[in-house]
Amino acid sequence: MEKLIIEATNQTPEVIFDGENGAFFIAGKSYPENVNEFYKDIYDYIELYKQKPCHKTTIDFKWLYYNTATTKNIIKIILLLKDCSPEFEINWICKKHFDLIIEKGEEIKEVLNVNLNIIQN
Amino acid sequence: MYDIFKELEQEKISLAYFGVFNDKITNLLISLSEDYLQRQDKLKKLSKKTSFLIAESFQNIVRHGVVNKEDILEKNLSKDFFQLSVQGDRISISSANVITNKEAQEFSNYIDNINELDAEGLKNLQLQTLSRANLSEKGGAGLGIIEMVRKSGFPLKKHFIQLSEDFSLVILSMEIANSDKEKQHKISIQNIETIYKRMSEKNIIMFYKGDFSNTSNTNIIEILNNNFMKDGDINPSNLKNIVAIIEVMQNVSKHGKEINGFREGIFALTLEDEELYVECSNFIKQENFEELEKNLIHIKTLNNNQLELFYKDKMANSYLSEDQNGGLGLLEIARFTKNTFNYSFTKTTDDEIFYSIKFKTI
Repeated sequence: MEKLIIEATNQTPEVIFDGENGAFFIAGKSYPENVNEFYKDIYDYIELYKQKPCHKTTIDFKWLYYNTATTKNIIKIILLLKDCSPEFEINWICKKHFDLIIEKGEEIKEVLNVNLNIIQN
Repeated sequence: MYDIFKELEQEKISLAYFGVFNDKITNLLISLSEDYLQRQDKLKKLSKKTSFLIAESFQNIVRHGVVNKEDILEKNLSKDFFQLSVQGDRISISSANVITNKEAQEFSNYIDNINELDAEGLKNLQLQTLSRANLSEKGGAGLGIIEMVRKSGFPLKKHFIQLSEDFSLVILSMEIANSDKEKQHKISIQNIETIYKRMSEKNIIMFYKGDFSNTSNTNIIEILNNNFMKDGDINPSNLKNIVAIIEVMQNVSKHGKEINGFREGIFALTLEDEELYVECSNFIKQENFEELEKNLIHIKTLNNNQLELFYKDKMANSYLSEDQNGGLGLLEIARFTKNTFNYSFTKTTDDEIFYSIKFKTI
Protein backbone atom coordinates (compact mmCIF):
# COMPACT_ATOMS: atom_id res chain seq x y z
CA MET A 1 0.00 0.00 0.00
CA GLU A 2 1.50 3.32 -1.05
CA LYS A 3 1.90 6.09 1.50
CA LEU A 4 -0.42 9.07 1.46
CA ILE A 5 1.65 12.22 1.78
CA ILE A 6 0.13 15.70 1.78
CA GLU A 7 2.34 18.73 2.34
CA ALA A 8 1.29 21.36 4.86
CA THR A 9 -0.08 24.72 3.76
CA ASN A 10 -0.99 27.78 5.84
CA GLN A 11 -4.38 26.30 6.54
CA THR A 12 -4.00 22.56 6.11
CA PRO A 13 -1.82 20.07 7.99
CA GLU A 14 1.00 17.82 6.90
CA VAL A 15 -0.29 14.28 6.43
CA ILE A 16 1.82 11.12 6.28
CA PHE A 17 -0.23 7.94 6.25
CA ASP A 18 1.81 4.75 6.03
CA GLY A 19 -0.68 1.92 5.62
CA GLU A 20 2.07 -0.72 5.23
CA ASN A 21 3.17 -0.09 8.82
CA GLY A 22 -0.13 1.10 10.30
CA ALA A 23 1.47 4.46 11.15
CA PHE A 24 -0.56 7.60 10.61
CA PHE A 25 0.62 11.14 11.24
CA ILE A 26 -1.12 14.52 11.01
CA ALA A 27 0.63 17.73 12.07
CA GLY A 28 0.33 21.50 11.94
CA LYS A 29 -2.63 23.80 11.42
CA SER A 30 -6.02 22.88 10.09
CA TYR A 31 -8.69 25.42 9.25
CA PRO A 32 -9.64 25.00 5.60
CA GLU A 33 -13.01 26.51 4.82
CA ASN A 34 -13.97 23.50 2.75
CA VAL A 35 -12.78 20.99 5.26
CA ASN A 36 -14.69 18.05 3.71
CA GLU A 37 -12.76 18.42 0.49
CA PHE A 38 -9.42 18.30 2.30
CA TYR A 39 -10.22 15.29 4.49
CA LYS A 40 -11.81 13.26 1.67
CA ASP A 41 -8.46 11.78 0.54
CA ILE A 42 -7.75 10.80 4.13
CA TYR A 43 -11.03 8.89 4.43
CA ASP A 44 -10.51 7.18 1.08
CA TYR A 45 -7.08 6.05 2.28
CA ILE A 46 -8.45 4.78 5.62
CA GLU A 47 -11.13 2.78 3.76
CA LEU A 48 -8.40 1.11 1.70
CA TYR A 49 -6.31 0.46 4.81
CA LYS A 50 -9.25 -1.15 6.58
CA GLN A 51 -9.31 -3.88 3.92
CA LYS A 52 -5.88 -5.09 5.09
CA PRO A 53 -5.00 -3.44 8.38
CA CYS A 54 -1.86 -4.05 10.45
CA HIS A 55 -1.96 -5.75 13.84
CA LYS A 56 -1.33 -2.40 15.43
CA THR A 57 -2.55 0.97 14.18
CA THR A 58 -1.01 4.14 15.55
CA ILE A 59 -2.09 7.67 14.82
CA ASP A 60 -0.03 10.65 15.92
CA PHE A 61 -1.64 14.08 16.02
CA LYS A 62 0.75 16.98 16.42
CA TRP A 63 -1.35 20.11 16.25
CA LEU A 64 -0.44 23.77 16.37
CA TYR A 65 -4.11 24.70 16.21
CA TYR A 66 -7.27 23.80 14.35
CA ASN A 67 -10.90 24.88 13.93
CA THR A 68 -14.07 23.14 15.03
CA ALA A 69 -14.67 21.76 11.55
CA THR A 70 -11.41 19.88 12.04
CA THR A 71 -12.58 18.63 15.46
CA LYS A 72 -15.41 16.86 13.67
CA ASN A 73 -12.91 15.24 11.31
CA ILE A 74 -10.52 14.19 14.08
CA ILE A 75 -13.46 12.40 15.76
CA LYS A 76 -14.36 10.74 12.50
CA ILE A 77 -10.78 9.59 11.81
CA ILE A 78 -10.46 8.10 15.30
CA LEU A 79 -13.81 6.32 15.03
CA LEU A 80 -12.88 4.89 11.64
CA LEU A 81 -9.50 3.60 12.80
CA LYS A 82 -10.50 2.54 16.30
CA ASP A 83 -11.73 -0.96 15.60
CA CYS A 84 -9.79 -1.93 12.53
CA SER A 85 -6.78 -3.48 14.34
CA PRO A 86 -6.47 -5.54 17.55
CA GLU A 87 -4.21 -2.80 18.90
CA PHE A 88 -4.87 0.88 18.49
CA GLU A 89 -2.87 3.79 19.83
CA ILE A 90 -3.49 7.52 19.66
CA ASN A 91 -0.64 9.88 20.46
CA TRP A 92 -1.57 13.50 20.99
CA ILE A 93 1.71 15.36 20.76
CA CYS A 94 1.72 18.96 22.00
CA LYS A 95 4.28 21.65 22.39
CA LYS A 96 4.91 22.60 25.99
CA HIS A 97 2.49 25.25 27.31
CA PHE A 98 0.08 24.66 24.42
CA ASP A 99 -2.69 24.27 27.00
CA LEU A 100 -5.49 24.64 24.49
CA ILE A 101 -4.28 21.66 22.48
CA ILE A 102 -3.78 19.63 25.65
CA GLU A 103 -7.36 20.46 26.75
CA LYS A 104 -8.66 19.48 23.34
CA GLY A 105 -6.87 16.13 23.57
CA GLU A 106 -8.37 15.51 26.99
CA GLU A 107 -11.84 16.35 25.71
CA ILE A 108 -11.57 13.89 22.84
CA LYS A 109 -10.33 11.22 25.25
CA GLU A 110 -13.33 11.81 27.51
CA VAL A 111 -15.97 12.17 24.83
CA LEU A 112 -14.90 9.11 22.81
CA ASN A 113 -13.71 7.08 25.77
CA VAL A 114 -10.52 6.12 23.94
CA ASN A 115 -6.97 5.57 25.08
CA LEU A 116 -5.25 8.77 23.99
CA ASN A 117 -1.71 9.50 25.16
CA ILE A 118 -0.99 13.17 25.67
CA ILE A 119 2.70 13.74 25.09
CA GLN A 120 4.25 17.14 25.76
CA ASN A 121 7.57 17.89 24.15
CA MET B 1 -19.91 48.58 12.61
CA TYR B 2 -22.66 48.92 10.02
CA ASP B 3 -22.05 52.70 10.05
CA ILE B 4 -18.42 52.25 9.03
CA PHE B 5 -19.50 49.71 6.43
CA LYS B 6 -21.87 52.28 4.92
CA GLU B 7 -19.21 54.99 5.11
CA LEU B 8 -16.83 52.84 3.12
CA GLU B 9 -19.49 51.67 0.67
CA GLN B 10 -17.52 52.93 -2.34
CA GLU B 11 -14.47 50.96 -1.30
CA LYS B 12 -14.38 47.46 -2.65
CA ILE B 13 -11.52 46.54 -0.44
CA SER B 14 -10.06 48.52 2.36
CA LEU B 15 -7.40 47.46 4.74
CA ALA B 16 -6.03 49.65 7.47
CA TYR B 17 -3.33 48.42 9.74
CA PHE B 18 -1.57 49.76 12.81
CA GLY B 19 0.65 46.89 13.78
CA VAL B 20 3.95 45.15 13.43
CA PHE B 21 5.69 46.08 10.17
CA ASN B 22 7.95 43.38 8.82
CA ASP B 23 8.57 41.39 5.63
CA LYS B 24 6.13 38.67 6.52
CA ILE B 25 3.30 41.17 6.99
CA THR B 26 4.28 42.86 3.70
CA ASN B 27 4.02 39.53 1.91
CA LEU B 28 0.65 38.75 3.46
CA LEU B 29 -0.78 42.13 2.52
CA ILE B 30 0.57 41.68 -0.98
CA SER B 31 -1.08 38.31 -1.31
CA LEU B 32 -4.36 39.74 0.05
CA SER B 33 -4.25 42.47 -2.58
CA GLU B 34 -3.20 40.08 -5.37
CA ASP B 35 -5.93 37.63 -4.49
CA TYR B 36 -8.53 40.39 -4.87
CA LEU B 37 -7.07 42.13 -7.94
CA GLN B 38 -6.51 38.91 -9.88
CA ARG B 39 -10.22 38.26 -9.70
CA GLN B 40 -11.10 41.70 -11.08
CA ASP B 41 -11.02 41.95 -14.87
CA LYS B 42 -10.46 45.71 -14.88
CA LEU B 43 -7.82 45.74 -12.18
CA LYS B 44 -5.99 42.48 -12.86
CA LYS B 45 -3.20 44.19 -14.79
CA LEU B 46 -2.46 46.45 -11.81
CA SER B 47 -1.76 43.54 -9.48
CA LYS B 48 2.04 43.44 -9.91
CA LYS B 49 2.42 47.20 -9.78
CA THR B 50 0.31 47.34 -6.62
CA SER B 51 2.37 44.61 -4.96
CA PHE B 52 5.54 46.48 -5.79
CA LEU B 53 4.17 49.72 -4.37
CA ILE B 54 2.90 48.05 -1.18
CA ALA B 55 6.43 46.76 -0.62
CA GLU B 56 7.91 50.22 -1.26
CA SER B 57 5.42 51.83 1.08
CA PHE B 58 6.25 49.36 3.84
CA GLN B 59 9.96 49.85 3.37
CA ASN B 60 9.41 53.54 3.62
CA ILE B 61 7.67 53.11 7.00
CA VAL B 62 10.39 50.79 8.27
CA ARG B 63 13.29 52.90 6.97
CA HIS B 64 12.11 56.35 7.75
CA GLY B 65 10.29 55.86 10.99
CA VAL B 66 11.98 57.51 13.96
CA VAL B 67 14.79 55.52 15.51
CA ASN B 68 13.58 55.77 19.09
CA LYS B 69 10.18 54.17 18.74
CA GLU B 70 9.88 53.92 22.54
CA ASP B 71 9.89 57.74 22.79
CA ILE B 72 6.94 57.89 20.49
CA LEU B 73 5.05 55.05 22.11
CA GLU B 74 5.66 56.38 25.61
CA LYS B 75 4.34 59.75 24.65
CA ASN B 76 1.56 57.99 22.76
CA LEU B 77 2.03 60.47 19.97
CA SER B 78 1.11 58.31 17.09
CA LYS B 79 1.35 54.93 15.46
CA ASP B 80 2.69 53.73 12.14
CA PHE B 81 -0.13 53.12 9.74
CA PHE B 82 -0.73 51.48 6.39
CA GLN B 83 -3.83 51.58 4.24
CA LEU B 84 -4.77 49.90 1.00
CA SER B 85 -8.04 50.69 -0.70
CA VAL B 86 -9.72 49.96 -4.00
CA GLN B 87 -12.36 52.39 -5.23
CA GLY B 88 -13.77 51.82 -8.68
CA ASP B 89 -10.87 51.87 -11.13
CA ARG B 90 -8.42 53.29 -8.57
CA ILE B 91 -6.16 51.75 -6.01
CA SER B 92 -4.66 53.85 -3.27
CA ILE B 93 -1.80 52.92 -0.99
CA SER B 94 -1.16 55.16 1.98
CA SER B 95 1.13 55.15 4.93
CA ALA B 96 1.77 57.28 7.98
CA ASN B 97 4.76 57.33 10.23
CA VAL B 98 6.44 59.62 12.70
CA ILE B 99 9.61 61.48 11.81
CA THR B 100 11.50 64.33 13.43
CA ASN B 101 10.44 67.86 12.54
CA LYS B 102 13.84 68.47 10.96
CA GLU B 103 13.42 65.41 8.72
CA ALA B 104 9.86 66.46 7.94
CA GLN B 105 10.99 69.74 6.36
CA GLU B 106 13.70 68.05 4.29
CA PHE B 107 11.35 65.25 3.28
CA SER B 108 8.63 67.66 2.24
CA ASN B 109 11.04 69.62 0.02
CA TYR B 110 12.40 66.42 -1.45
CA ILE B 111 8.92 65.21 -2.43
CA ASP B 112 8.03 68.62 -3.90
CA ASN B 113 11.11 68.43 -6.09
CA ILE B 114 10.34 64.92 -7.26
CA ASN B 115 6.69 65.70 -7.92
CA GLU B 116 7.70 68.49 -10.30
CA LEU B 117 9.70 66.16 -12.52
CA ASP B 118 8.29 64.64 -15.69
CA ALA B 119 8.88 61.02 -16.70
CA GLU B 120 12.25 61.83 -18.29
CA GLY B 121 13.34 63.88 -15.27
CA LEU B 122 12.40 61.08 -12.89
CA LYS B 123 14.32 58.54 -14.95
CA ASN B 124 17.42 60.77 -14.96
CA LEU B 125 17.21 61.39 -11.23
CA GLN B 126 16.90 57.67 -10.63
CA LEU B 127 19.98 56.97 -12.77
CA GLN B 128 21.96 59.73 -11.06
CA THR B 129 20.97 58.45 -7.63
CA LEU B 130 21.87 54.90 -8.59
CA SER B 131 25.25 55.95 -9.98
CA ARG B 132 26.08 57.84 -6.79
CA ALA B 133 25.42 54.52 -5.04
CA ASN B 134 26.03 56.07 -1.66
CA LEU B 135 22.88 54.99 0.01
CA SER B 136 21.60 57.29 2.72
CA GLU B 137 22.10 56.35 6.37
CA LYS B 138 18.72 54.73 6.50
CA GLY B 139 19.23 53.05 3.13
CA GLY B 140 17.46 53.67 -0.12
CA ALA B 141 18.82 57.14 -0.92
CA GLY B 142 15.30 58.26 -1.87
CA LEU B 143 15.10 55.64 -4.60
CA GLY B 144 11.92 54.28 -3.06
CA ILE B 145 10.19 57.64 -3.37
CA ILE B 146 11.30 58.04 -6.99
CA GLU B 147 10.02 54.54 -7.74
CA MET B 148 6.69 55.30 -6.08
CA VAL B 149 6.12 58.31 -8.32
CA ARG B 150 7.38 56.55 -11.45
CA LYS B 151 5.37 53.38 -10.95
CA SER B 152 2.13 54.98 -9.77
CA GLY B 153 2.20 57.59 -12.55
CA PHE B 154 0.85 60.24 -10.17
CA PRO B 155 2.61 62.79 -8.00
CA LEU B 156 3.00 61.56 -4.46
CA LYS B 157 0.58 63.17 -2.05
CA LYS B 158 1.86 64.19 1.34
CA HIS B 159 0.48 65.71 4.47
CA PHE B 160 2.36 66.63 7.64
CA ILE B 161 0.85 66.96 11.09
CA GLN B 162 3.05 68.39 13.78
CA LEU B 163 2.69 66.24 16.87
CA SER B 164 5.10 67.91 19.27
CA GLU B 165 8.14 70.17 19.35
CA ASP B 166 10.22 67.30 18.05
CA PHE B 167 8.02 65.08 15.95
CA SER B 168 5.61 65.14 13.04
CA LEU B 169 3.37 62.60 11.44
CA VAL B 170 3.87 62.23 7.72
CA ILE B 171 1.08 60.80 5.63
CA LEU B 172 2.01 59.66 2.14
CA SER B 173 -0.46 58.50 -0.44
CA MET B 174 -0.13 57.00 -3.88
CA GLU B 175 -2.82 56.42 -6.44
CA ILE B 176 -2.79 53.83 -9.21
CA ALA B 177 -5.17 53.98 -12.16
CA ASN B 178 -5.83 51.30 -14.76
CA SER B 179 -5.04 53.66 -17.61
CA ASP B 180 -1.84 55.67 -18.18
CA LYS B 181 -3.99 58.45 -19.61
CA GLU B 182 -5.63 59.09 -16.23
CA LYS B 183 -3.87 62.01 -14.63
CA GLN B 184 -6.60 63.31 -12.35
CA HIS B 185 -6.40 62.41 -8.67
CA LYS B 186 -9.60 60.85 -7.39
CA ILE B 187 -8.65 60.02 -3.84
CA SER B 188 -7.97 62.93 -1.53
CA ILE B 189 -5.28 62.85 1.14
CA GLN B 190 -7.76 64.52 3.50
CA ASN B 191 -9.84 61.35 3.29
CA ILE B 192 -6.81 59.30 4.22
CA GLU B 193 -6.17 61.63 7.14
CA THR B 194 -9.81 61.26 8.23
CA ILE B 195 -9.54 57.47 8.09
CA TYR B 196 -6.26 57.61 9.99
CA LYS B 197 -7.74 59.83 12.71
CA ARG B 198 -10.97 57.88 12.93
CA MET B 199 -9.21 54.55 13.27
CA SER B 200 -6.66 55.99 15.64
CA GLU B 201 -9.40 57.50 17.86
CA LYS B 202 -11.34 54.27 17.85
CA ASN B 203 -8.11 52.45 18.68
CA ILE B 204 -8.50 50.18 15.69
CA ILE B 205 -5.42 48.06 15.21
CA MET B 206 -6.55 46.36 12.09
CA PHE B 207 -9.53 46.98 9.89
CA TYR B 208 -10.46 45.02 6.81
CA LYS B 209 -13.44 45.55 4.60
CA GLY B 210 -13.60 43.28 1.63
CA ASP B 211 -14.09 39.78 0.41
CA PHE B 212 -14.45 37.02 2.99
CA SER B 213 -13.38 34.23 0.70
CA ASN B 214 -11.25 31.43 1.99
CA THR B 215 -8.00 32.91 0.65
CA SER B 216 -8.70 36.36 2.08
CA ASN B 217 -9.57 34.84 5.45
CA THR B 218 -6.34 32.86 5.47
CA ASN B 219 -4.28 35.97 4.72
CA ILE B 220 -5.95 37.94 7.51
CA ILE B 221 -5.54 35.09 9.96
CA GLU B 222 -1.86 34.85 9.05
CA ILE B 223 -1.40 38.62 9.54
CA LEU B 224 -2.95 38.32 13.00
CA ASN B 225 -0.99 35.17 13.69
CA ASN B 226 2.16 37.13 12.96
CA ASN B 227 1.12 39.78 15.45
CA PHE B 228 0.50 37.09 18.05
CA MET B 229 4.00 35.58 17.62
CA LYS B 230 6.58 35.55 20.35
CA ASP B 231 10.26 34.91 19.56
CA GLY B 232 9.32 33.70 16.08
CA ASP B 233 6.90 31.10 17.40
CA ILE B 234 3.19 31.07 18.13
CA ASN B 235 2.59 32.48 21.57
CA PRO B 236 0.65 29.70 23.37
CA SER B 237 -1.34 32.21 25.39
CA ASN B 238 -2.82 33.50 22.13
CA LEU B 239 -3.93 30.14 20.77
CA LYS B 240 -7.52 30.62 21.92
CA ASN B 241 -7.61 34.02 20.26
CA ILE B 242 -6.34 32.65 16.96
CA VAL B 243 -8.87 29.81 17.01
CA ALA B 244 -11.72 32.14 18.07
CA ILE B 245 -10.86 34.54 15.24
CA ILE B 246 -10.85 31.67 12.74
CA GLU B 247 -14.24 30.52 14.04
CA VAL B 248 -15.76 33.97 13.95
CA MET B 249 -14.52 34.67 10.43
CA GLN B 250 -15.64 31.30 9.15
CA ASN B 251 -19.00 31.68 10.91
CA VAL B 252 -19.66 35.06 9.36
CA SER B 253 -18.42 33.84 6.00
CA LYS B 254 -20.50 30.64 6.16
CA HIS B 255 -23.74 32.57 6.54
CA GLY B 256 -22.55 35.34 4.23
CA LYS B 257 -24.51 36.54 1.27
CA GLU B 258 -22.60 36.45 -1.98
CA ILE B 259 -22.90 39.62 -4.05
CA ASN B 260 -21.26 39.61 -7.53
CA GLY B 261 -19.15 36.62 -6.57
CA PHE B 262 -17.88 38.22 -3.34
CA ARG B 263 -18.85 37.72 0.25
CA GLU B 264 -18.20 41.20 1.51
CA GLY B 265 -17.67 41.80 5.19
CA ILE B 266 -15.75 43.65 7.85
CA PHE B 267 -13.13 42.45 10.28
CA ALA B 268 -11.79 44.76 12.98
CA LEU B 269 -9.38 44.43 15.84
CA THR B 270 -9.83 47.24 18.36
CA LEU B 271 -8.44 48.27 21.71
CA GLU B 272 -11.04 49.38 24.27
CA ASP B 273 -10.05 50.13 27.88
CA GLU B 274 -6.80 48.31 27.25
CA GLU B 275 -8.67 45.20 26.16
CA LEU B 276 -8.43 43.83 22.65
CA TYR B 277 -11.73 43.20 20.85
CA VAL B 278 -12.47 41.32 17.66
CA GLU B 279 -15.46 42.23 15.56
CA CYS B 280 -16.61 40.56 12.39
CA SER B 281 -19.65 41.47 10.31
CA ASN B 282 -21.34 40.91 6.98
CA PHE B 283 -24.65 40.57 5.22
CA ILE B 284 -26.28 37.22 5.68
CA LYS B 285 -28.75 35.29 3.64
CA GLN B 286 -32.38 35.76 4.68
CA GLU B 287 -32.90 31.99 4.82
CA ASN B 288 -30.05 31.62 7.34
CA PHE B 289 -31.26 34.37 9.63
CA GLU B 290 -33.96 32.64 11.67
CA GLU B 291 -31.97 29.52 12.45
CA LEU B 292 -28.84 31.50 13.27
CA GLU B 293 -30.72 33.84 15.59
CA LYS B 294 -32.45 30.90 17.30
CA ASN B 295 -29.10 29.20 17.81
CA LEU B 296 -27.51 32.36 19.23
CA ILE B 297 -30.42 33.01 21.59
CA HIS B 298 -30.15 29.44 22.88
CA ILE B 299 -26.38 29.64 23.39
CA LYS B 300 -26.78 32.89 25.32
CA THR B 301 -29.12 31.18 27.82
CA LEU B 302 -26.44 28.66 28.81
CA ASN B 303 -24.14 29.04 31.80
CA ASN B 304 -20.51 27.88 31.56
CA ASN B 305 -21.21 24.32 32.77
CA GLN B 306 -24.14 23.92 30.43
CA LEU B 307 -21.99 25.24 27.61
CA GLU B 308 -19.30 22.65 28.28
CA LEU B 309 -21.85 19.82 28.39
CA PHE B 310 -23.62 21.02 25.28
CA TYR B 311 -20.28 21.36 23.47
CA LYS B 312 -19.15 17.86 24.40
CA ASP B 313 -22.49 16.38 23.41
CA LYS B 314 -22.34 18.12 20.03
CA MET B 315 -18.72 17.05 19.64
CA ALA B 316 -19.49 13.37 20.28
CA ASN B 317 -22.16 13.43 17.61
CA SER B 318 -20.50 15.90 15.28
CA TYR B 319 -19.47 13.20 12.80
CA LEU B 320 -23.18 12.52 12.18
CA SER B 321 -24.00 16.16 11.50
CA GLU B 322 -24.39 17.51 7.99
CA ASP B 323 -23.08 20.83 9.21
CA GLN B 324 -19.42 21.20 8.21
CA ASN B 325 -18.29 21.87 11.79
CA GLY B 326 -21.01 19.84 13.49
CA GLY B 327 -22.52 23.05 14.91
CA LEU B 328 -19.47 23.57 17.12
CA GLY B 329 -18.25 26.93 15.79
CA LEU B 330 -20.44 29.35 17.76
CA LEU B 331 -20.20 27.12 20.83
CA GLU B 332 -16.42 27.35 20.68
CA ILE B 333 -16.59 31.16 20.61
CA ALA B 334 -19.10 31.07 23.47
CA ARG B 335 -17.04 28.86 25.74
CA PHE B 336 -13.72 30.58 24.96
CA THR B 337 -15.27 33.93 25.87
CA LYS B 338 -17.28 32.50 28.78
CA ASN B 339 -20.37 33.50 26.86
CA THR B 340 -19.49 37.19 26.95
CA PHE B 341 -19.48 37.59 23.17
CA ASN B 342 -22.06 39.93 21.66
CA TYR B 343 -23.95 39.72 18.42
CA SER B 344 -26.32 41.94 16.52
CA PHE B 345 -28.53 41.85 13.45
CA THR B 346 -29.19 45.14 11.69
CA LYS B 347 -32.00 45.23 9.16
CA THR B 348 -31.13 47.63 6.37
CA THR B 349 -33.50 49.74 4.33
CA ASP B 350 -32.98 47.30 1.44
CA ASP B 351 -34.37 44.55 3.67
CA GLU B 352 -30.97 42.98 4.05
CA ILE B 353 -29.56 41.69 7.32
CA PHE B 354 -26.18 42.80 8.59
CA TYR B 355 -24.81 40.30 11.10
CA SER B 356 -22.09 41.19 13.55
CA ILE B 357 -20.21 39.28 16.27
CA LYS B 358 -17.88 40.92 18.75
CA PHE B 359 -15.80 39.44 21.56
CA LYS B 360 -13.09 40.45 23.96
CA THR B 361 -9.88 38.54 23.31
CA ILE B 362 -8.92 36.01 25.90
